[in-house]
Amino acid sequence: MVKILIKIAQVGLKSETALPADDALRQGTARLNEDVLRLLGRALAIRHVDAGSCNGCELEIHALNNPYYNLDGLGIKFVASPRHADLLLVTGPVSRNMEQALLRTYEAVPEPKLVVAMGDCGCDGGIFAENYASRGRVANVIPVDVAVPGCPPAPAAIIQAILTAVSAARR
Amino acid sequence: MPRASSSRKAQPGRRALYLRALLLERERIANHLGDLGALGNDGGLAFGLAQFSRLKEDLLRSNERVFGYRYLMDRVVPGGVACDVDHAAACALLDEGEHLASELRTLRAIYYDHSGLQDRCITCGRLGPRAAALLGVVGLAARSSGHAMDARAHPGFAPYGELQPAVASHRNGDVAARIVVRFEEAFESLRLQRLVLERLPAGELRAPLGAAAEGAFGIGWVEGWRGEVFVALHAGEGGRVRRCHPHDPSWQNWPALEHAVIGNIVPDFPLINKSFNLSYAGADL
Repeated sequence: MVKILIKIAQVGLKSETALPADDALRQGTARLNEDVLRLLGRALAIRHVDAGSCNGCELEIHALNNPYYNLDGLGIKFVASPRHADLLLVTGPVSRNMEQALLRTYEAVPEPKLVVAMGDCGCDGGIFAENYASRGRVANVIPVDVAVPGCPPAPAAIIQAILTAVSAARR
Repeated sequence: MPRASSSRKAQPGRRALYLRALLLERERIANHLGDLGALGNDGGLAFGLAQFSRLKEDLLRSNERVFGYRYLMDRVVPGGVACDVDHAAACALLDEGEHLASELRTLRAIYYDHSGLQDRCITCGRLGPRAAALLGVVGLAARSSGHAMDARAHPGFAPYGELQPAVASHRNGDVAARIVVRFEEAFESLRLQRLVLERLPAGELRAPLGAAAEGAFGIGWVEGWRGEVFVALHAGEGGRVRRCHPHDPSWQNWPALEHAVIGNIVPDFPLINKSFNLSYAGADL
């Protein structure tokens, strides 16, 4: 126990400030009004859907919770059911096997159903594009509010995309 | 990425081979750090996740600075590598390695002394040597179950013949064994990184490749962090790929997880699953 406490004291706080929202990432019109934002406060629940990702994006999603990015510290957490979620974070091109599952997940999310498409595959289909196994980009299957490109996008960019999605009315 | 291709008559230069080894070992270190943190967390020691995920992030940021990519993708290319390490970068990586080894020694002592964590891991999720052999288990999981097999120790995997990698192994086949093997491999990878950087030969980064002859076969075989990654290519007309078979260790090891969980309590499943940490996409990262 003493060794653990010494290590914690030596390392100190590592958390960094998140990047502000960026309108360039926005896909559609602003859908949130001040009332909704006040209701959400600073708390946001995210349901992550792997619609056919190579798991590269998942590595960076895991990194969001490391001490540097400290997503929990921003009041943002991942949940295990779309019914508990405010926002869907979708990775991968949408494989045909996951198309129905993604649609049902989207239907299960309560309004305002925010969606962030993550990674080159989520944004435009990536190297998979559209083929016999892939429906391509996430926007081909469900409406997307914010898209964040990258292979995979860096954690700071993912946080920025999430913050952009929830700050739609603050322009 | 495949390390060699016999379908085109070209051998990467010595500098390119050393840099490929450097990339491979840094990928191994990063992933072992991530797993060691997650294993601590699943065993009830959240402190471990915070510390190891911090160290992994440091390493990824250093990858971004030196190689231009956090996950080192597209740095290995046909005929060589698409990156280089200058003297200043080599010194920075050596310093980082020294510092990381010191942090790892402290955290290893904490993990090994933590009775709560050890209680969760010892005898949990055992995969015996016989089951591992029958299922054809590869890589880290095989080495934790008594099979000291590692493609880096095979002849012909340049430049490892000159680096003499020590193959970590353990007989118990439980979660604790897979933790021990990860720690030992992380230290060994840091030693290999130091050797590579100290001996980095001069030479070209990328040998020119001609078109592959129609019908030619090529294979690539590397010991990735999870186990051996094997790719077979069959060239077709005009240098195009006729057939390609990628075989990754996750595909090979998934059935072993079903055996390892038998007789264990349900709350131990996440811990056992994480101790193998196989890819859900089957695309080895």
